[in-house]
Amino acid sequence: MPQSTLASVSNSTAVHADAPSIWLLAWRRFRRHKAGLVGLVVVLIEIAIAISAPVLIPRDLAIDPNPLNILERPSAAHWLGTDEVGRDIFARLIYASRISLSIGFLAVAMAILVGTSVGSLAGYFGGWLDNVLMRVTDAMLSIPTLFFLIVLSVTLGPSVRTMVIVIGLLSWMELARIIRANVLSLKRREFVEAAQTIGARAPTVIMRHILPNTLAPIVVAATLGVGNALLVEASVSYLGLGVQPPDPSWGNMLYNAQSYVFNAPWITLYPGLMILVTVLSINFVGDGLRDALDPRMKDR
Amino acid sequence: MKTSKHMETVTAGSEANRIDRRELVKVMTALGLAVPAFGAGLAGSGRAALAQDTARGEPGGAVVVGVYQEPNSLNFLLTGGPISFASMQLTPLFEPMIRYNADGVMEPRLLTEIPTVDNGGVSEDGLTYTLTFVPDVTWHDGTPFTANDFRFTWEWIMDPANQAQATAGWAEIESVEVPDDLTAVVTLKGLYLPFVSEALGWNPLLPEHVQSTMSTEEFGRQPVGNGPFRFVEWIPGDHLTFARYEEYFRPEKALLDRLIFKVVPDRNTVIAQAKTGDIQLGIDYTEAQIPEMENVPGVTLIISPSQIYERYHFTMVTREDASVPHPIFGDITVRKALTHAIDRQTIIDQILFGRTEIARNELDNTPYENAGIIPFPFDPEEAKRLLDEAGWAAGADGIREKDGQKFTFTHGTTSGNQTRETIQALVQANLRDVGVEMTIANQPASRFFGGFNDGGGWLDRSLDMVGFTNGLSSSDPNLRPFWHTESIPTTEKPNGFNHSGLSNPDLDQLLDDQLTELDDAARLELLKQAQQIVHDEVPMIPMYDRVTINSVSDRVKGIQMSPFGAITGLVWNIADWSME
Amino acid sequence: MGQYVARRLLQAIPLLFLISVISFMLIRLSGDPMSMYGQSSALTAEDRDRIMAQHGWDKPKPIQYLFWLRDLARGDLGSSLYTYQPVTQMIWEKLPNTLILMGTVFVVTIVVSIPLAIVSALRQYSTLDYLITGASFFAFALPTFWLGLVCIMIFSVKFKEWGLPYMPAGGMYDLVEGPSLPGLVKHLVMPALVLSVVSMASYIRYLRASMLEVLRDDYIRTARAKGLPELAVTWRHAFRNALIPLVTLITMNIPLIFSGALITEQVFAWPGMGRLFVDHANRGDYPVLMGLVLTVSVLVIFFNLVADIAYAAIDPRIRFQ
Repeated sequence: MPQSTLASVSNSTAVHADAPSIWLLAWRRFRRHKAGLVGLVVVLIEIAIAISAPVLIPRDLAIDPNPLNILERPSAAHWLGTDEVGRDIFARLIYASRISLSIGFLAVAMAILVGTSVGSLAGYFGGWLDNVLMRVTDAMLSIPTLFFLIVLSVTLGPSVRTMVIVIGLLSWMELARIIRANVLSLKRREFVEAAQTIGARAPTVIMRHILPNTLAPIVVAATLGVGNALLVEASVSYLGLGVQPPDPSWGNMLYNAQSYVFNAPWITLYPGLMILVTVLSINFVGDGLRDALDPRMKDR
Repeated sequence: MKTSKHMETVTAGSEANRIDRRELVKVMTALGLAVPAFGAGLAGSGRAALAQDTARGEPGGAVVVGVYQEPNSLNFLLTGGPISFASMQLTPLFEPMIRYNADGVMEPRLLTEIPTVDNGGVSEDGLTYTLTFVPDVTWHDGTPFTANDFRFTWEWIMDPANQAQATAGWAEIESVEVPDDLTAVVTLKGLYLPFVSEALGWNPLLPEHVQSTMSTEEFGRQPVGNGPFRFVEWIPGDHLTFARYEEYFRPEKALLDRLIFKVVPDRNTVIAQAKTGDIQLGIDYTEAQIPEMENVPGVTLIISPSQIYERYHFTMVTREDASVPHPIFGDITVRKALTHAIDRQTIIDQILFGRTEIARNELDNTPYENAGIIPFPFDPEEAKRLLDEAGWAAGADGIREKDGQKFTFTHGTTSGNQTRETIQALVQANLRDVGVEMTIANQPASRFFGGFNDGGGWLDRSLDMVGFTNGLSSSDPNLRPFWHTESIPTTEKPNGFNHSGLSNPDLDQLLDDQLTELDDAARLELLKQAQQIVHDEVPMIPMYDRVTINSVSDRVKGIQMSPFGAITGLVWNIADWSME
Repeated sequence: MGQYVARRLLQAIPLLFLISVISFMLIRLSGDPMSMYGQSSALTAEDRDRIMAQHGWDKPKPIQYLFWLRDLARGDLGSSLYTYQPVTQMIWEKLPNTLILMGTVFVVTIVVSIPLAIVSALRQYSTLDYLITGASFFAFALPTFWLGLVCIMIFSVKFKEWGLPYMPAGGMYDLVEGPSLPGLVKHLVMPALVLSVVSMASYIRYLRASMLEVLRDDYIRTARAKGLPELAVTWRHAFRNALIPLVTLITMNIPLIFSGALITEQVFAWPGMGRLFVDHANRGDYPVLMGLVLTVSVLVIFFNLVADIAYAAIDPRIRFQ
């Protein structure tokens, strides 16, 4: 329920872009959130592995089928066994992390870009622009997400880019509403009015003065959004509309393993676990961040 | 011991009942009837595995069949042809005019005999057919069946308001006279050899007294048939129930009390249900599921061949202008090279568990097959040599280049089909070995099989190579819709099956001539020449013959898989099934 | 208030129009109904031309939208291009099945998650709290279809192999025995469980957070300071205020009861609304897809309005503007 988690941090106190102490304080609070810290470490390790994958293990192992070694059990040569066309599952998991994590982070980046733009434009300018943008937001919110997801993936054709666009396009609405509400209240504050009086133009006011003060909900939404994007990727893969072969993603590995769930159950286990652990870790981080950024939590 | 004895009985029995195949082929070919020669090889093994008592079992019991897709309507004429997947579920309701038995031989059902020139059923000029129907047939509401129902069915199909999908065969009829209740005299507009197989083969008829008072939709929900089972209920998206028709005109009434088709959309759930015994028959598994289902106690897996096959079509001409060659695949040397580069046998052995063979062309497994055609062997060195010869020189990154253009092309098929995706991965690796980069651009079936002007990747030539399954959908070997220049789909004329854009004047001539060639041997010769040209032009890589994989509980007796229309072929003798 | 409702309902019209335009274009671009006929060579080129002309698919898409809109204005959602059934009838047939599944999930979720969330919030940082939040985090991170598949593998297939009483792997009832209440319940258990576990996870996290927030508020401290018994504080003050976000959550989720669970219905062969969508999305059957999208959108908009009215009933600070 992203709306709630965001709502609880939406009233953070006004800060200026160059006020690091707030973030330092937040970090101190975050450090006390054990699960969040563990989650952060796990996610950072995964990112490090994903980035250095080409150094760690040759890509060919993850991509090149070897029809003579199909569905092998874990062994010294293949730590986690081989998949239905004889590719090394361990190598695929690592290369899949590159794709899955990219989808997660890029989709969220896109959602933030759209959500923040729509929210701040609507809130700052108001009037007919506000009306149009918010009606579009309402319309998008009224259409069931998975319905939309299927139709959009089909239209754009399944690929990594499509996944990013589609997940991004379907997860900006809540954020836009919250940003709009924050902007509405912020734009009447003295420091914003002061900036306007000295002749700062709208983009400057929004970028320099308003957005920095509404960073907290964005950060929390971003974190939780990444976890959500990974789960959505798995669902879309189940419908056969995910990342296309030969590139592995955790979602399509899980989907491909399905047919072998009875006689080679281990091959469905690994991608499932990767998704579970990653989403869990990211959500812990999000939880920790929310606590850290919510000023009312500081005296706990 | 017991089993082998029964198998012998079956074999001996079917030999005795079989008209001399060569003789039959000759007669039927003259009239455009194919007798698919499935008896040998693969078909034999599939059938032998299932060979059971020829004696009929005890009446009673119900069989639940798990299907992943249900029919759109219970009106045969709205399901896209009599051998479509959906129509399998209607076969028990309607008595066909002609059916194909387990040996792929035609048997008259509603007709007293299959019309030929010899038996007087067809006039010497091939334009007039006299159809004689079996007496005492009743519709499920008790009304007698008459030849008027035949005439009505023809009129109904040809009335555009009824939205009948397939008009093949029926559209050639000029007039139908009904001199008496059991005779229909059909006059064709012109000589049309596929008439019997297209209009009469497997086709049921509509009851005039019911359908004339109902909308298409109503009849499709509440069908009144004349087959061994009658309609009970249909809960769309869930199940379809039939029960034995007690007044069936043959002495061999259906043995099962009820027959239920259960819709199970997830193929893994089908497996689970076959294992738990929730369903007795599982229909149309993917090859990837073979190991999963092969050793389930109490369940037999039937793998049977079909006359459709998986093919990879080259896009030989551009999308915009079908007379302009494709920049890469316009060159026949390149097409040949790629065919040599793909290791089809390994794909079959490893991914398809060795259960099929490399395909040749549209007429695989029919008497019209040009068996002289030998598939291009797997030979990467030859592939490299041909590519060098065609001017594609090795590039710096291992991908070949020609005139500054890299040899990279797109390949598309239906997304979400695991067997296809797995094979794509292997083909991709094969091609990379000879310096060719294949990019995968799959589309969901709802888009892939769309029209030329609606982004349908299979025929709109927006992809450089496409993979899918197709083949004859009647038993007539007419190749014209597949390879004639007039069958090339274009923006203005979006419908046609020559997706590759193959245009060869000699081939066009042969395809035109074979349609009107009355002489059996001469038509066969024309078709064989046509197949040779198609093979030599390499417009596609025939990948492998498709097989149909069904699972049957050992409690179900009497199933004899017929290879014609692999899925309809399962239920052809449904009246003889019983539950142990 | 009557005026407020009337205004909101009027605003819904352009909104629904916008939704229909967006959906129609996307749906029509995503799949071509001609794909239903696939490669079937039983259809001649002439048959295909005729079918396209009959449905107007040879016309530009905006024109096709106008045709659809014209029929809608007459109150006609059209008929499926695939089954020839009226769309409204198809939706009515599936709705009860989806209501049975999703209604059960909804009730189970609320009945189980409210007490768990309250306990968890009241005993923050206790072992019980860690257990509950930990479990909900865990459940929240599971891909639904994987959970469903694993359940089928264990409770249906393996249990049968081990000779234990096993669960049916899919469907709504045993087709040979015919429909019965015990049969329905047996078939309902696994899909309902899978969905409940996932939805409970978000309810618990959400409710716990809002309870905690309320518990820190000044008036709760005041109430406690006044010496009110803890139970009274919890129920009269804290819970009542935590109810507001709960109302949001419930009203936001009610449309889901109607739209069904796309993936779970697919995995467990449950004949509901979600499967109706998937089945027909695969065929480019746009009248059915449009009918479903529009139905669910109307419900979402309606329940949003209900939510706003409910706020006012619970929270006297909110006034209609």
